[in-house]
Amino acid sequence: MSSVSETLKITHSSGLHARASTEFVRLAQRFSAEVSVSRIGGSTVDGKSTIAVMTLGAQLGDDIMIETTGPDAEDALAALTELVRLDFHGV
Amino acid sequence: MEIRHGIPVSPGIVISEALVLDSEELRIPQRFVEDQYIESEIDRFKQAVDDSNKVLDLEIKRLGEEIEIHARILSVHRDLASDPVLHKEIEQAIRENSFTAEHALSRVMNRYVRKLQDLNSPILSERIHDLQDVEKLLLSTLLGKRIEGLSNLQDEVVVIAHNLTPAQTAKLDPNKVKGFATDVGGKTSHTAIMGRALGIPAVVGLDDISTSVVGGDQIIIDGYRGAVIINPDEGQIAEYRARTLKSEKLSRRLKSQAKLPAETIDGHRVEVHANIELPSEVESAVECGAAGIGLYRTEFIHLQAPSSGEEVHFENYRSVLESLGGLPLTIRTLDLGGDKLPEGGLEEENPFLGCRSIRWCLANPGPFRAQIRAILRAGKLGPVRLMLPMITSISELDLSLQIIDEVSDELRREEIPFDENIPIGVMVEVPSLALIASHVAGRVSFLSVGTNDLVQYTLAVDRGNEHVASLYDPMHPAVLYLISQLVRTGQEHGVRVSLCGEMASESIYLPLLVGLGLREISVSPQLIPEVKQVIRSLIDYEVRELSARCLQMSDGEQITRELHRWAVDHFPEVVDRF
Repeated sequence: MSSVSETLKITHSSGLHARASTEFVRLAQRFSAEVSVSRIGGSTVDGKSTIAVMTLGAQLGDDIMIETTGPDAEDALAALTELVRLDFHGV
Repeated sequence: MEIRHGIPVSPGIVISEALVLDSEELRIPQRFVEDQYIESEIDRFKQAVDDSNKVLDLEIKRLGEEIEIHARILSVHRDLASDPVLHKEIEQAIRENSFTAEHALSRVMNRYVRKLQDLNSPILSERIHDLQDVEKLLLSTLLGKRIEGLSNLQDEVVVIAHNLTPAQTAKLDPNKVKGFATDVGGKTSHTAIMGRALGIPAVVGLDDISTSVVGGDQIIIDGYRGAVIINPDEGQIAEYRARTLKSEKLSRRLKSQAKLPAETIDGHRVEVHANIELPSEVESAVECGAAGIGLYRTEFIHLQAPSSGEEVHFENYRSVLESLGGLPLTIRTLDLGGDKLPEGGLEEENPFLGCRSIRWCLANPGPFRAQIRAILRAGKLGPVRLMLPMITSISELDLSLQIIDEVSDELRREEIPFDENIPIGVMVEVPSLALIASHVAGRVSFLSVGTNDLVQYTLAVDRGNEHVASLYDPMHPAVLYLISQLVRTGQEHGVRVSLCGEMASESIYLPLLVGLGLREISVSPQLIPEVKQVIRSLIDYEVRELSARCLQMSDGEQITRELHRWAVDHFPEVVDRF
C-alpha cells in the first residue's frame, strides 16, 4: 500500500479548530485512503474524525504532518494540503 | 479512583451511585451489562446513532430552507454523532468493560469534553456545547422511555450537581437521595442546609465534580473531612465501612442519652431546639431530644407552590404542631431572596443587599399577610412563636408589627380563633440591629441570632462564593463582640436571646457560646444528641472564663485554635469523629 506525507504550517488564524476541522474531515472522508494527522511535537490522530482532529489542538504557527495511505493517497494528500494552504477557505 | 477535596457542610459518610444533574435531568439507570449481552448492547448503540441521524437529517432538511445557520450547527452535530473515532472508543468501552451503551457514551464524551476544556480555547467552547448536545440526543434516544423521573428514583443515589437550587431539590425524592456533592457553594448554601435537613452527608466547593463524575459512578462522600472519592478501590470501601460503623456506634450511644436534659455539670440548663425545613423532620427532631423547634424555615412552602395561600401554610403548621405534641414551635416568616430566590423573581445585581426576606414581604404584603394569618391561627393549636427575619431598623420592625396588628383585627372581626398573645421575636442577622438591640428589646419577646447572615454581613463575605469562603470566619472577634453584647442586652431587659445559626452546629464553638451566656440554641435535628452531650460535659464557670479569654483575642484563627485545644481536652471522642 502506497503511503505519502507532507509537513506544513498552519496559517489559519484560529488554527485547526472548530469549523476548520469539520472542513478538513469532510474532505478527508471523500477519499478511500486512510488519513492521519500529526501535530509536530504532539500526537497523531485519525484524519476522518472531527473529534480527534479538534482535540489535536493544532494552532496558528504549529507544524502538522498529513499522511495518506491507500489507492487514492496522492489525490487525497494533494486536496488536503491545498485546503490547509488556502486557510480552509476562510471558514 | 480519584479523590477530590471540598468543604464539608453536612456530616456523615455514604457509599452509593452517582446521579449527575444537568439541565436535561437525564439519568443513566444502569452501568453494566452481562457479558452475553455485549454484542446486542453494541447493536443498540449503533441503532441509536442511526435513529439520531435520521432525526438530524429531517431537521437539517427542514431548517435548510429557512434558517441556514441552525442547519449548519446540526450538520456539525451529525458529523459528531457519526464520528468513527467516537464509535470505535464507545464500542471498545462496551466490549472491554461490559459498560451499558449509555454509560460508555457518557464516559467517552466526558473525556473529550475535558480534553477540549484543557485546550482552553474560546473558539472551542462552542464545540463543547455541540458535543454535550450530541451526548444528550444520543442518550435520550438510547434511554427512550426509560428516562427516570427525579421524583421517582428506583435506587438510592448521591446527587452530583454544579449547584443545587431549591427548585431542583424540591423535585428530588428525599428517600432515595443519600448525599450531595457540588462544584460551588459554602457552609451555608442551600445544598448545605438541605444536606443537614435530610441528615445526609454533603460536600461543596469541589470545583468541577459535576463534569468529573459520570452518572452511575460509585462515589464515597465523606461529610466529616470534605472528601469525595470517585470509583473507590476495595481498600477504601473497606476503610470507609469501618469508619461508618465506628461513627454509627457513637451516634447510637449519644442518641440513647438524647432525652436527658442539656445541663452543665454545675447545673445550668441550656435548651437545645431543632432547625427544620420540612414537617417530616419533626419526628426525628423529637427523637433526637429537641426541646422544641427553634427555627422552622417556611420558604419551602412558598417555593413549592408560589401561590400557596393561608390554608397551605396553616396545614403545614398544624402537621408540625401535631408531631411536636406540646413542644414549642418558632415559625420564621418568609425569608426569600439572597440564595433562595423564587423562580422568575427579581433579578438583582446584589441580591444579598437587595429586596430579600422581610423587605420582600413588606413589598409583597399579600403572601406575607396570608402567612401571618396562618401563624396566628396555628397559635391556637399549640405554643407558637412568630419570628421576623432580616430586620435592620426600628421602622422596619414597627411596620411589621403594625401588619401583625392589622391581621389580628381582621381575624377578630371574622371571629376566627387565633392566639392573641403570640410571642413575637426578631432574628438578629444584620450588625445594625445588633447594635441597636436595646431599642429593639422593648418591642419584642425574644431575639434570635442568625449567625449565617450575621457573619456574612459583618465581614462582607458572600457565604456562597467559593473564592472568598475562607474569609467567612464565624469566630471573627467582631462577630463574637456583637453576640456577647446582644446576650448582655437581653439579660438587662429580661428578653430571651437564642442562637439558631450554623455556628452552634460546630461542637468546638459550644463552650464559647454557653460561656457567653446563651441558654437556648437551635441546630439540625441529627446534631442535637451530640450538642447535648457536649453541654453536659461543661462547667459553667470554666466556659465563662474561656469565653472571657477569647473575647480578649484579636484574631479569629487564634480563637479557633484555643477552642479546638479546649475541645480536644474536654470532649475528645466528639472531636475525633472528624
